[in-house]
Amino acid sequence: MGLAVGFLLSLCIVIAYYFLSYIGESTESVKTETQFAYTRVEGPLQPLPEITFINERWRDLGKALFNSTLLSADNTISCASCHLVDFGGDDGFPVSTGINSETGSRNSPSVLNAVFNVAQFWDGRSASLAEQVEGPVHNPLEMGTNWEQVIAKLNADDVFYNMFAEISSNGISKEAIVKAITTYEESLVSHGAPIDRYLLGDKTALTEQQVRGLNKFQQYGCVSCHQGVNIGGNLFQKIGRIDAVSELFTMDLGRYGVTGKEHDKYVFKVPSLRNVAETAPYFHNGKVSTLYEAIEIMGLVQLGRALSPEDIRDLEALLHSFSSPMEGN
Amino acid sequence: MDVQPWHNKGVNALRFWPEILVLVCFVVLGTHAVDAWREREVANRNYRLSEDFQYTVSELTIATLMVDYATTENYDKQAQLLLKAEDIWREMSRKEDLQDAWQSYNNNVAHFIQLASVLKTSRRFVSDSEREFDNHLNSFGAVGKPLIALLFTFETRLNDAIAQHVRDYIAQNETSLEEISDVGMQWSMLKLHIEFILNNTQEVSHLIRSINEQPLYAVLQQHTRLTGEQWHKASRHFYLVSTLLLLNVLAILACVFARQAIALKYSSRKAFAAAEAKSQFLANMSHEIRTPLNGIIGLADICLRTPLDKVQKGYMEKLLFSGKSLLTIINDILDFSKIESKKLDIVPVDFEVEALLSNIKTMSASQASEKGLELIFVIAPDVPRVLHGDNIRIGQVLLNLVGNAVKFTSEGHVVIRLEKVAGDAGEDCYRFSVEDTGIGLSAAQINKLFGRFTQADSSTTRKFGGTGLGLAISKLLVELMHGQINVESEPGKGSQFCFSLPLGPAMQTEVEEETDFPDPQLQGKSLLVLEDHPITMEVTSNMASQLGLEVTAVDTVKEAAQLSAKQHFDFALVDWHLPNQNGGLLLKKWEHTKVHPTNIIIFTAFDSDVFRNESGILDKYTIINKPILLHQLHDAFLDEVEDDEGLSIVAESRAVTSSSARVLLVEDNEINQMVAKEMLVNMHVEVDIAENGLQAIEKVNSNQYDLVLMDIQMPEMDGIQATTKLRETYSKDSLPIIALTANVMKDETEKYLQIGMNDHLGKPFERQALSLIVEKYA
Repeated sequence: MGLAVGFLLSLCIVIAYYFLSYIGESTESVKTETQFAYTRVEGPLQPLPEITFINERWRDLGKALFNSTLLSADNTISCASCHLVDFGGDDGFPVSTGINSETGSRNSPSVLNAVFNVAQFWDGRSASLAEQVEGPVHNPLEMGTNWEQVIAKLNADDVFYNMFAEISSNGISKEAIVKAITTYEESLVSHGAPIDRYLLGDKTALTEQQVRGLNKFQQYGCVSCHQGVNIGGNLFQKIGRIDAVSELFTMDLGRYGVTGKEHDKYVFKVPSLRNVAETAPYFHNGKVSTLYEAIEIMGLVQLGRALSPEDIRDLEALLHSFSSPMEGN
Repeated sequence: MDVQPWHNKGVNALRFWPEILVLVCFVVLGTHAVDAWREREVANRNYRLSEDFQYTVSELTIATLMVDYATTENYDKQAQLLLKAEDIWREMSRKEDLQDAWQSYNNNVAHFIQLASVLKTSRRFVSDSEREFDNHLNSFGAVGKPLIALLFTFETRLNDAIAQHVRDYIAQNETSLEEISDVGMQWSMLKLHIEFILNNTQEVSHLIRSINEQPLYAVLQQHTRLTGEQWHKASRHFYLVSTLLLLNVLAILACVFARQAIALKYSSRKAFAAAEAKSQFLANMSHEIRTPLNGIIGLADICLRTPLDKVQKGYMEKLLFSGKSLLTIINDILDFSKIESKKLDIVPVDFEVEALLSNIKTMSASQASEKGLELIFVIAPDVPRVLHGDNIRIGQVLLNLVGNAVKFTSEGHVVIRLEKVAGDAGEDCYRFSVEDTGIGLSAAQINKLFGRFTQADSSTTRKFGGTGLGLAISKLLVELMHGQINVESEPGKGSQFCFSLPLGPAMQTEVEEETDFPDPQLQGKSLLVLEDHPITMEVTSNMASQLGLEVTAVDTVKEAAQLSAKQHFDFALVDWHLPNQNGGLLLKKWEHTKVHPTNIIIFTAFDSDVFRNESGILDKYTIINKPILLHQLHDAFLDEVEDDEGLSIVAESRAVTSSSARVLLVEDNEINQMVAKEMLVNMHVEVDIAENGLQAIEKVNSNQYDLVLMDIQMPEMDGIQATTKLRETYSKDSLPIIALTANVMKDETEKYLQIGMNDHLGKPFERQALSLIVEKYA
C-alpha cells in the first residue's frame, strides 16, 4: 500500500538524518580504554600501578605507528627514533635529530611511564599524551608533516589500511592515530624496578647504600618535587629556585613560553626520575652528561645544599634502583 | 446510487493529501526529534561533566592546600586530581565562560605548589641548622638561636618590618653565623634558604588566600546550574517533540483506518448496488415472463371450459399443467433470490391450523388421488386450533414437501403429521412431518439434498422434473423462521421430511367460541367405518372417538355388511375406493336391504366429478374428501344430524352471483384482456375495457364502476399515474382499484397500496383468485 511505502520512506529519511547528524563530529573518541590499579604505600614514593585493562588491538596498532616512519614528512624518522623504549625511552642525545638532520631545542624526555606525568613536554604545554602526539608530528624540526599527509600515506599502505579498517569505526583518522599511539604509550609502564619491589615490601631489593640514599633523598627534600608514582613528573618547578643557576640553563624560559607569566620564567616540568640512569644526558637541554653532576647541581640550586661526595654517591646509587628493564615491549 | 470511483490520475496525488501531510509532518517532526535527542544528550553530558568538574576542582583545592601541611605524598594526590580535572576539562564543551577562571586557578595552584614545595625544603634546612645551633650554644649557636626565633616570629606575623629585622640581624652577626660551616653546614646555603623564606612566605600565604577566593568556584557553580537548566530544557523539548511524533504516528494509523473504512464503504455500496440491480433485473424478468404466461394459463383455462373432444381436452389440460409448472419454477427462483438478498420478510399472523392444512389438501389432493395415493392428515390433539406464525411460508414449505412426496411416491400413502414438541429452550415447537412410501433417498443423496439447484439424483430431473430449488427454499424459509428441517430416509422404503418451528399461541383472544369436543350432540352415537387403509382407518377412528362417537372399524365390504346387519349404527363412514370392491357396492346392498345406518357419509380421495357418472350418489349422500380434518368430519356429522332427510349435497361451486357488478378492466395486452374478460364474463360480471390510464380515467368519469382492475405497466399513462389521478376524485371506498401486476416484489406491491390501490392481484392469476377479489370488492 502506498501509505506503508511512504511511511517506510519517511522513517528511512529520519533514520538517515539521525546517523548523518553524527558525521559532523568525530566518531572515534581519542579517549582510550586503558585502566590502572594503584597500590598506595606509606611515604612520598609510590610503586607503579598495574595495568588492569588495555585494548591490545589498539596498542599493537599504536606500536606499529610508533615505529613507522610514515609519520614524518620525508619518511626518515618515527616516534621510536627519539624514544627508544628499550633504552630508557629516550635517544641518549642532548637534543634530538628530526627530519633533514635538524636538531631540536630540548632533550627528548622518556616515553616510559609518561602516562603518569601531569603534563607532557618539558614546559608542560600538553596536558595529556593524546594532545602531545600532535606536537612532534607538526614540529618542523621533528617530523615536520601534518595529519592530511600522514593519513594519505597510511591509506596508501595496505598493512595500515587493513589494521585501521579492522578496529576503527571511521578508518584512518587523526583521532584513530592518536588513540592508537596513546594506547601504546599507556602500555609503556616500566614495572619491576628495585625501588618498586622495595616499596611493595621486599626490603632486600635495595642495597644498604641505596637505602641510605633513599633516606637522604627524603631528608634533604628531593621528595618535595620528586615523589609519587613517577618520582617526579607531577608538578612544575623553577630551575634554580634557591640558588642561581649557570647561564647554561637560563637561555630557555621554559613554561613562561606557555603561560607568559613572569613567575613561570625558567619553570619546567619536574621530570620523572624513573629510568633516570638510562636517560643521560640530563636536564631540559641535555647539557649535563652524568648523574653525579646532575645530583650535585640539583642539591645546590633546588635544595640549597652543597652535597658531600658521599651523599651524592648514595643518591646516585638510589637513582639506579629506579631503573627497570622494559620487558615485552 | 452515486458511487464514483476516481478514475482521473491527475487527481490521484491530491486525493492522498492527508497521507502526504502526515508523512511530511512525520519527517519534520522526526528530524526535529533527532535534533532534540542529540541536544538533550549533549546537554546531559555537559551537565554531568560540569558537576564532575566542580567536584574534582573542590577536591583539588583541598589537596593543594593540604600540600603545605600533610606529608609529601599529597603532591602526588594533588597531581592526580589535577590530571583528572584536566581530563574532564578536555571533555567539556561550551566552557568559554570558565576559560579565564580555570586558567587563573591553574596558574595559582601551579605557582603555589612550586613555592610551597621549596619552602618546605627551606624550612627543613632551617630546622636542621637549628639543631646545630642548639648543639653549639656556647659558640655560634648563641647567635643562631635568636635568628631562628626571629624567623619563626616572621612566619607567624608575616610582617615586612620583621623581615627587615631578620636581614639586619644577619648583617650584624654574619661572622659568628658563618662558624656553622665548621660542623658541615654551609652558612651560604642557610642564608639562601632564610632569604627564600623571607621572600616567599608572604607570597605563599597570599596564594593560599587567592586559591581560596578563586572566582572559579562561583563561575563553576553558575555553569553547573546553567547546564542543568539547559539539560532540563532540552529534556522538556525532547519530550514535547516525542509526544508530537507519537501523535503523528497515531495520525498515520488513523489515516490507514480511515482509508480502509472508505474502501469498505465504497465496496459495500458497490455490492449493494449490484444486489439492487440484480433484484431489479429479477423483478423485470419475472414481470416479462409472467405477462405471456398469464395469457397461456388463462387461455388454456378458458379453453377447457369450451366444448372440446377428448383428445383436445387432454392437450389443453397438459398445456395448463405445463404453464402452471413454469409458473412454479419462476416463483421458486424469485423466492430463492428474495431470500438470498434478504428481501423476504417473515410476517407472523394468527392462523387456523386446519385452514392451513385445508389449503394443502386443495392443492395436492387431486394430484395424490390421480396417482391413487392415500393422503392422510394427522393433527395431534394437543395442537391448538389457532397458532401464530407466517402461515403463507409454512404452507409454502409444507406444500413443497407434500408435492415432493406425492411426486416421488408411486403407490402407498403420504402422511402429514403435526405434533407439539418442546424446543431446545423449552418453548413450544410444532413439528410438521411428511412421510411417504416413495423411492426414498440414500445417505449420500441426503447430504446434498438441501443444497441449491440439486436434486437427489440428476437423473430424477429427467424423470420427475423440477428446478431443484424447492428444498433449498424450504430450508432457507424454515431457518428464517428459526426452525430446523431434516430428513430420514431409506432407499426404496420412503422418506420422512420433518421441520419444527417455534410458533407462539394465538395473539388475539379467540372471539369465536371454541367448539368443545366431544360434541354432546354426537355423544354416545355409534359409527361404522369402512376403510381399507390401516392408517386412514386409525386416524378416522381416532377423530370420531374424539367427537364422542363409538367407533367400529372394518376393512371389507363383507364385514361391514355383516356388522350392519347385526347391529344398528347411527352413522356410517364409507370409503368409496376399496381394493377389489367399491364402496358403492355396500351402498347398493344397504339400499337393497333397507337395513342400514341412519346416516351414511362417503369419503373419498376422488374429485366429486367422479360421482357424476354414478347415478344418484351425489344426490343421496354426503361426500367428504380425503384427507379429512376433524372439523370437516364434525361438520359432516352435524349436517347429517340436523338434516332430517339425512342427505345433502355439499355445494361444490361458489359461483359469484353478483350479476349486477360492473368492472373496468384496464389492460394494454390484448391476450391478457381476453383472458381476464373471459374469466369475468364467466362470473357473470359486466366488463368494460380500457387500454391505458388515460382511457381508464375517461371511462371512470363517464360510467359507474364497482371495481377497477388496473394493470401497472401501460403505454401513455401507466397504472400508477392513473390511480394517483383517480384517487384525487374517488375515495378508496367509492371506487376500489385493484392492481393487476406481474410485479410481485414486495416493495412494489407496498407502493401500490401506498398510492391508494385497495389490493393487488399477481399475474398470472387464476380464476379462483380473481373471483375472490371480485366477490370481495364488487
